[in-house]
Amino acid sequence: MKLYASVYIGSNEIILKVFKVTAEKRLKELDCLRTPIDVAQDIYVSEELKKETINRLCNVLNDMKKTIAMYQIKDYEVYAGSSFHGAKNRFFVLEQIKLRTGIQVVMLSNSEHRFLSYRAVASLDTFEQMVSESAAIVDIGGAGLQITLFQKGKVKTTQHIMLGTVMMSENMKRLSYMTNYKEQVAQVMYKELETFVTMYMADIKVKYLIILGDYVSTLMEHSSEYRITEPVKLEQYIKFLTDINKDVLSNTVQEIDILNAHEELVEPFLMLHRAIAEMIPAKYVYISGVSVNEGMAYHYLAPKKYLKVTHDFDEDILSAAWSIAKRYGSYQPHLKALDSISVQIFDVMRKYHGLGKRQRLLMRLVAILHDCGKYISISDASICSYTIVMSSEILGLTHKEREMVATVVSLNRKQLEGYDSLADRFTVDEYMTVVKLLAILKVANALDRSHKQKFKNIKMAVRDDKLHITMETKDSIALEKGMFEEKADFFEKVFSVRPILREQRIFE
Amino acid sequence: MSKKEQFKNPTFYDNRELSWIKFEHRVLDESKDKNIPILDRLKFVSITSSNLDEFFMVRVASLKDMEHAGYKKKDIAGMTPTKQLQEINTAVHALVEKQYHTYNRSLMPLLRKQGINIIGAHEDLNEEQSDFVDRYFQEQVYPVLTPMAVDASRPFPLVRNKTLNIAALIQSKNPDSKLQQGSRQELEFATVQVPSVLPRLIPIPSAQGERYTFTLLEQIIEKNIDKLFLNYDVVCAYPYRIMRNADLSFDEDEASDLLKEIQKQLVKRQWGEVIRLEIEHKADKRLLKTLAEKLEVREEEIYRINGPIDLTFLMKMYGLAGCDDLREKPFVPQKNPRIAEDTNLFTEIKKGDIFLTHPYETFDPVVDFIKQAAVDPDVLAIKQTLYRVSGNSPIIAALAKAAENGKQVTVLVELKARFDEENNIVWAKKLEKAGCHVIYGLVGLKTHCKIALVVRREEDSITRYVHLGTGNYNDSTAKLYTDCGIFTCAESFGEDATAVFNMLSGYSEPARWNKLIVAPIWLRNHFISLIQREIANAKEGKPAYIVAKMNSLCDREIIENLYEASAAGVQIYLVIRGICCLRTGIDGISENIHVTSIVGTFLEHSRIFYFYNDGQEDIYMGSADWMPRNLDRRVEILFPIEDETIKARIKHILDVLLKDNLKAYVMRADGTYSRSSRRGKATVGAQMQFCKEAMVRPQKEEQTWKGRRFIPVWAFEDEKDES
Repeated sequence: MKLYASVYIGSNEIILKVFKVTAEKRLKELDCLRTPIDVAQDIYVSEELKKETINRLCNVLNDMKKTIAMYQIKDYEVYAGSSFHGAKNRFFVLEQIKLRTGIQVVMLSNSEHRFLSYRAVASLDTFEQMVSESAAIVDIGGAGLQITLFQKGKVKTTQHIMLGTVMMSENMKRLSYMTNYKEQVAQVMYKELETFVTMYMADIKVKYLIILGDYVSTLMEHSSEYRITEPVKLEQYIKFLTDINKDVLSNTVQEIDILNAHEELVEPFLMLHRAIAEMIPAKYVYISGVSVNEGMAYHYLAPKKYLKVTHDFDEDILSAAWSIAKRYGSYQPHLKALDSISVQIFDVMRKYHGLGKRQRLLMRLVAILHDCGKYISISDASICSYTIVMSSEILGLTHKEREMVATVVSLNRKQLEGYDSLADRFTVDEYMTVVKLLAILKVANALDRSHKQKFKNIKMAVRDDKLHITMETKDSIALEKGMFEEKADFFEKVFSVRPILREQRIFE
Repeated sequence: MSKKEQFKNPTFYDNRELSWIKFEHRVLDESKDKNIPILDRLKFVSITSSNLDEFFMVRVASLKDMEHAGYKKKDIAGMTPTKQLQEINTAVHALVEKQYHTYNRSLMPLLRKQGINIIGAHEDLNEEQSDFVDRYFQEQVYPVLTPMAVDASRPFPLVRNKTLNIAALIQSKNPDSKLQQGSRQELEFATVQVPSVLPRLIPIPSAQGERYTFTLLEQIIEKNIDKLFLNYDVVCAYPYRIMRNADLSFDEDEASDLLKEIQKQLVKRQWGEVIRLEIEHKADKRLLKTLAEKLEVREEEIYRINGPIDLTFLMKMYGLAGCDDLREKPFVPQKNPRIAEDTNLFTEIKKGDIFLTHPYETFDPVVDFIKQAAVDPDVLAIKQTLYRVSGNSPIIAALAKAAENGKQVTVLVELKARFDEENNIVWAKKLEKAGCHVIYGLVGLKTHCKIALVVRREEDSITRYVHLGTGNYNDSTAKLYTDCGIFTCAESFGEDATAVFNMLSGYSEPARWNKLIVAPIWLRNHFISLIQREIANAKEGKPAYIVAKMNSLCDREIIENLYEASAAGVQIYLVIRGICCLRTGIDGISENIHVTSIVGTFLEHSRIFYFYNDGQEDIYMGSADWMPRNLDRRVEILFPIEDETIKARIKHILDVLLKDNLKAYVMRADGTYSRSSRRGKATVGAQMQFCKEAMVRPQKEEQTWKGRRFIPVWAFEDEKDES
């Protein structure tokens, strides 16, 4: 019997969930401890966690440790949500926690954080069917919300919007001296969402609106006949949000947590959900009821094959990348060629670079995105590419991975400098990955220098410290050959394997 | 709306304090029952005496507080606190009258006939006894006495709550002596506490042929009181006792450490205002006047007692050796047919839920549940709530042992269990020492639910074993209180039980409960919706029944709903031992409601709720009465009974309770209670029958109950025709 425990320190709550893996390779929740905590509020007010909050965190974590020990669980993880990054004293806090509880808390970047929520919702049975049509997944947090659009099973875009419940509640508090402060806050909210819709949803109609976060599902369950196991009609959902005015809601909130509810969040919470429902018109609304904790469990257990996973998350990442490439007008046939050539080199060189499956995915991202900066400026393409990649949320990619991709892309046409120049961003290992991916990219890119895909049937093999690349071509590949040697030098420096290009002219 | 309004009419309700006094009359009636052996009858008098003490300290005290605060709000029956206090005093005077009448006229003569003599006045002692008593005074009593006189220089001493004292008027022998201060010619007041370290009931030499002769400690002191005031003449001396305001009301939000706060309150309790003065009825007027003035008691709060003050000492008589013929033979709790001595409870529970009825069945399995868990290598954790535990509780010992064996043990000790605080603090400390994680519940809410959870790691799962009960985890009261409980390892119950303990440890409640209904949040609404469902069924012309058994019913909203149900044609049968603010037989309001009260050898304590639900019967048990405090200010658990076999058993229990015509009282339309008519019917005594059944059942197959369809054959149906 496999047990796993996940602790998630969110912006309002700290949650421990204990899971068991069933015989059907599914997750079953055994135990759950959750209690309110003022992370987001502290950060919003003073940009750091207060002493009381830290003490409470430590006490709760120590208590949760006991529960984890009770179940004799060895596999457990403790993650702090991305809102933690807003605390200036975050490292002091983590150190305090480590010393006082013995727990090493992993701080999630925004991307990792969102991915875990996404991972949780993607584990649900109905998920595949919903995204295979079209869906908008909205993950609402304390400091911001993130929307991911799916069409025909492919990720179209992921956007982060600075609209969060805690943030809005604080805004409301600040503006409350005005008589129409609610409208003011609402206006800002609608405007932000409108921008998103015009920019990204002009040609997309979504069928399902998937709301992440178990708070709202709890509310719905407590309030009425709504069931969360299946999507409800949008009108029904909006009616639910309308019916449940503030009084009813705070009663319900009290019911949900008699001990300590963040009552002041109730109103902004409700406004935000309404605005989303109205601005992102979908036919159905689905309230998932799963949280980061489930996502953590999947993330930990699935790679170890304890859990069955149907959804292909790599495919999401690739489709998001393609969608970015398309948005910035990159020349698709070249990207496709580059994607396949670089993967081919990557695979054949496996023994010599020692990189794994995840890096292979990064390789493909590098190939797909290597060019996107040209949309803005051909001469400054490398810096523009870097900026575009860094500011495009790709669901499923960690922040670090995104930075690696962006760096490789930006170095494509530049001279690589020593580790020192990147030491502030990467560890040596990460630096080496960047270098290896860059070497492959450069060679692959040289093979299609003309962007004309002049070759077919590329064959590769490594023999005697040489990577023999043979390609059939009808046209002259003089250009490619000319550029090749310079790239080959770099490649050889990195891998001690020299790529040799051979052409087989075919005549028809 | 107006239809609902009509159920609120205060004349449809009984005041809860007055209803409680009616209950005490019923208990007292047991002491008048000639079919009951004499020592048992004495016990019932003693019970009414101690109940009355608690009643004053808690209920009267809180009414007093309200009166002082100028609180004018009327209660459920439309009475202001002042009005209630007046009526209570009148009613209690009558109750006390009846108490002593029974004691003097029926019980004492009967006891004497059996060769047991209590000499209640030292003047009646013979010479031998007098000598004995005087010697006893010199040797045992005198050293622990602290007499206190009052005069200008010495303030009126603190007379301790609930203690017996002797007040005396004394006069100086040498009025001119310089050594004696104060007003010389006048009478002075003096008081001495009857020491509580010595037994109240003192065996003294008997006359020939008598089994026992006793006298009372205060009589011995009174007889020798002149020895305490050597330079004075004792003009008169009488025993008296006071009762003080003892309701613990403190602000929990401000108490950072609940434990300390309660300890502080325990000390404070002695300083409350005096709300009752009991004094011997022949007491000197001047003495009484001084006492009343100094203690600030009003005339109606003075109880002139014709007999020994504080009859709780009669409880001590119950155990007299050599008097088995004067006692009811104690019933020996039987074994549950599924649980033999060496049964592994976990294996047995796995086979199916187990139902326990105490005291007909022994409480041992509940203790063994913890004991076995303590030594079971697969057990990971034990969690339990403790409200009132017995002295030397085997459960505490088992929990401590489990912690020592490395199990995670979490115990919720409710410190606020009334009058048990001191006891509970001791246990809490003991458990903490043993390594248990002791929690003290939620601020503002008493934890009243009775639940125990054992988490066990088994081959391919984590299995949770749960015990849920209607009574406390107290092995001694389990021999006297009728309670029910179940063992189950159903996953849904296990999850909920885990959530209950998480909640009690201060974590948020789960998003949803599978089976348990938990007060204070969810319980009230759940009950209302169950009643409303019967109403809806009745309105559709379907049969609709509610049967509920509990200790007290005084919640306004529940009663309103019951009235509405009755008006809609729902047949309602209530078995309520104590307070019942609901009135029966009001035209158009409650003629479909029947209330009985069973007062017997055992204290009826289980709470069972039955709803017909158009044939899909719902049965619940739990720790909550239909009282505001249970529904709103406590953590309570109501749990459904789902096993068909157990359901059938419980229906049988309800059926027998409703058929009781031996110990049951019926509430009449005028709010009084009287014995139900036995004319033309076989005598049914529910407690008696359950005892018999428990003794027979082990031979019978448990399966016989299975599939038995319950058709409500209500005990009252024939009677209704009669009246």
